[in-house]
Amino acid sequence: MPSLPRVVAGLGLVLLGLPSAPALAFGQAPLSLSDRKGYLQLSNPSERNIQLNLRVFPVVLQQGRASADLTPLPPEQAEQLIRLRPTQLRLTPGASRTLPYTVLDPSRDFFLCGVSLQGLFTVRVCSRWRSAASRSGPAKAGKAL
Amino acid sequence: MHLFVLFMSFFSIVQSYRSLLSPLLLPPALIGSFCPGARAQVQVGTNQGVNFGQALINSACTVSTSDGSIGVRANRNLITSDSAEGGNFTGTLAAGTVSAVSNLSSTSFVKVDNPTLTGTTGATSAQVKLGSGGWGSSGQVNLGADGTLAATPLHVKFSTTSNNNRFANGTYTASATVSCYDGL
Repeated sequence: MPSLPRVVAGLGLVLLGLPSAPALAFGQAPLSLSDRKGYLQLSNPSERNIQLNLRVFPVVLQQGRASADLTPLPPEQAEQLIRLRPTQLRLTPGASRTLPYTVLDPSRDFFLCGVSLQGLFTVRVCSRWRSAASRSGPAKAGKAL
Repeated sequence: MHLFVLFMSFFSIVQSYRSLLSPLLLPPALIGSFCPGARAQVQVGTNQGVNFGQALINSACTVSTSDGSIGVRANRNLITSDSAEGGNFTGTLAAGTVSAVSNLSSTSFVKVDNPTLTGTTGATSAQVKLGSGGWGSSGQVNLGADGTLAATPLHVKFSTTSNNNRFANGTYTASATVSCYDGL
């Protein structure tokens, strides 16, 4: 893949840094899933096609801040938490897509992240579902799921 | 008693004249047209409402990235994108960049973690540096009060204690995970 920065260390330690690719972008809304049923909007404001995967991640709390774990839940576990179709899609430049979702288990906290491989980076924009207990209670350190 | 009779007579006379003169009394609108200083309202036709369509407001974040490139130190113990690391390097060292546009508040943030190097020799230490932050296994920066993050440099660096502390010949690729959160 020519857009990936890479080092080629061949005989005699020949190294090659490939030029940077143009910026890629990916947007998602809303970032808080406030209702059990709703719509997720995904957009590609960049000038290149992007491939998106929608994955469910456990919530990690670090220093009072919630973020998504690095490893997504297995599909069979994710499907018990939220119904969303499709989970893989391709967005052409300037395109946006609206997907209906239904939270199946509102008692569990999780992140629903759009994941896009953009050259060097795996870009995620994450929407959080908070259980009723999480909405009313204080944040606790450690994994919430 | 006489005073009472006199008062009642005067009252009845006033009432009689009032009923006679009532058709001549000017309506308030006409009074307004003759007397600009007077308070009056004129209405022609029926009320017309103006409606506006609904607006759906949702928190949103768009992350943009551009790739950087990495090189290896001459003694092969470090692969990085940051030319500020000491030593002679082979390859083009350049930061990647991360930017974000959102309608979020300054509680929102962009986080970079999971710096990963794939190649012949595995890295035993992997770090990222986002913006003016220091090196670490992850980095994060808050979005501004306007919900944006200007293009911010992102560096990676990897070292190894394998293979006598030297990255062996081969092709190496670096990656990281960039995430946007509303911080709530």
